[in-house]
This record gives sequence, C-alpha cells and structure tokens, in this order.
Amino acid sequence: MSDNPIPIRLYDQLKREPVDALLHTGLTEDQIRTAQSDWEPVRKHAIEQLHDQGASLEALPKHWGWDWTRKISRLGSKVLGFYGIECAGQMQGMMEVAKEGYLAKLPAQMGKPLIYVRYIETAPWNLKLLEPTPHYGGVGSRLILVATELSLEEGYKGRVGLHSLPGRSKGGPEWFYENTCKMEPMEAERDGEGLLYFELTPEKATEFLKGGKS
Amino acid sequence: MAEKRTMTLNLTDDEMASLEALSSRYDMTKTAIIRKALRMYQVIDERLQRGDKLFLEDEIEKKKSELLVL
Repeated sequence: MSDNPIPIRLYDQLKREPVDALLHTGLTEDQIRTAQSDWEPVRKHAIEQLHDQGASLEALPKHWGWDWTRKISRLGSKVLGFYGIECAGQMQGMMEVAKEGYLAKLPAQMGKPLIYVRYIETAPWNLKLLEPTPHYGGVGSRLILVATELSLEEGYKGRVGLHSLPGRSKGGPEWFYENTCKMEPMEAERDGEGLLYFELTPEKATEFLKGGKS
Repeated sequence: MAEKRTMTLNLTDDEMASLEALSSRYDMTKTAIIRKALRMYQVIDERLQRGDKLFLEDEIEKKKSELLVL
C-alpha cells in the first residue's frame, strides 16, 4: 500500500533547474511493475551500446540484472520498507530497507540496531555510467537521506548500513557512500559476493542530513 | 512520518529496570524499545497464527527449544 507521497525537489540536469518530485513512502505492486518495465529496456539498450563501444564487463553496472518485481511478495512486511522517487510520471529511483535484524558493526556502535539498505537503484537514465548526461541528479543521495531519517524515526539515531556495489573511482557507488553519504567502509565486513560494507554513525548522519537539506 | 498517539504505561520496578537496561544496551529511547518490541511481537504472532513455530537454537550444543508466545 502506498502512503500519501511527499513533495520533494530533484535537480533536472538537462534543464539545469530544480523540479517537483514525489517521495513515495511505500510502493504498490503496480508501481514496481511499471518502474521495472520502464527501466529494463533502457538499461538493456544502454548496456548493449557500451558493450559495442568496447566497454569491459567490469566497467558495466553490476545491478543491471536486478528484477524489482521479485520483491513484490515482500510488500506489506512490517520489518521491511519500500520507497520510491517519482518525477515526470516515472520512478527515478527505488529502495528496499530492513528495519529489523541488522546490528551495527563499527567498534564505536557495535551491536546497536540500524536500518539496513537491502537494495537501492536509480533509473538507468540517471546513471552516469549508462547515460553521459544523466537526467535527474541527487536521486541516490535523497534515498539514503530517507533511510537516515527512517533510522531517526525508529530510534536508531541515524545508524544505517549497506553493502555497496563495486566502484571506488569518483562517482562510483563506493565513492558515493563514503564521500557523499559520509558512511564508513569496513573491509572486514565484505559479504559473500565480496561487496564492501558501509555504515553511518549518528555523528556522520547529522553531518549528512545537514548537507542533504542545505 | 506516521501520526503518533500518547499513552501512559504503568510498569513495576523490575519491568522498568528491564526497559532501562534494554534502552541503555541498544542506545535507544524507552519508547523506541517498546515500539520495536511491539512490532516483533506482531511479526511473531502473525507467523504463529499461520501455524509456524518459533525456536531458539544453541549453535554450540546443537539444541533447539520451542519458544511459547502467548
């Protein structure tokens, strides 16, 4: 069930101006199916183009195969949350978070509960790797901001954790979580697929929230 | 953010001590602990109502014990 969407602003990088958008604090099956069918062909075409241009497999985004419709059976769960940002009639980014079952790993906050970001993805036309001129900027950071605000609401003081897709260079996922979202990487906590773990502390959450709202 | 309503909660000294200990251990307010406990109760209750059982497992002893939830 989708809640009443909250009006937010995104930056339209083609028009070079802020535009109205909606934050959905709950997604419906229809919204997920529509987003998936909007994203999939664009993503497939962009990846084929990159491949034709000689891009190596390592350079291609690792989440191009995510199928959001496989998450539909989890809608309505009390311990999970689904969020989406809509602009110009299309979903620009989606996120699934877990409110229970994950504890902090950084020594300073070991064992304290946190919000764990299970999946986060921006629409392919907002991804610099696939689209030389991404359409809307700030979708990913707005979604992490939502996870941070949820952490505060749940009483977790802004603690957020996630495993990042690879990409250490500027603008890549790991660079984004560490530099834009102020999260701390933990080499020792890579998951079974080798994805690097990042965690946000209450202090860094305050810093990130100030930056995200300024 | 969902709208919240206020209620008064009467606890014994022992219950309050337990709540304060959890609040301190997990660095959460007492209200947040109660809300979290209620959510977990709901999740477990839903599974029990469907006929599932809740077990605790001792990994070292390799023992499972069924937990009864009222």
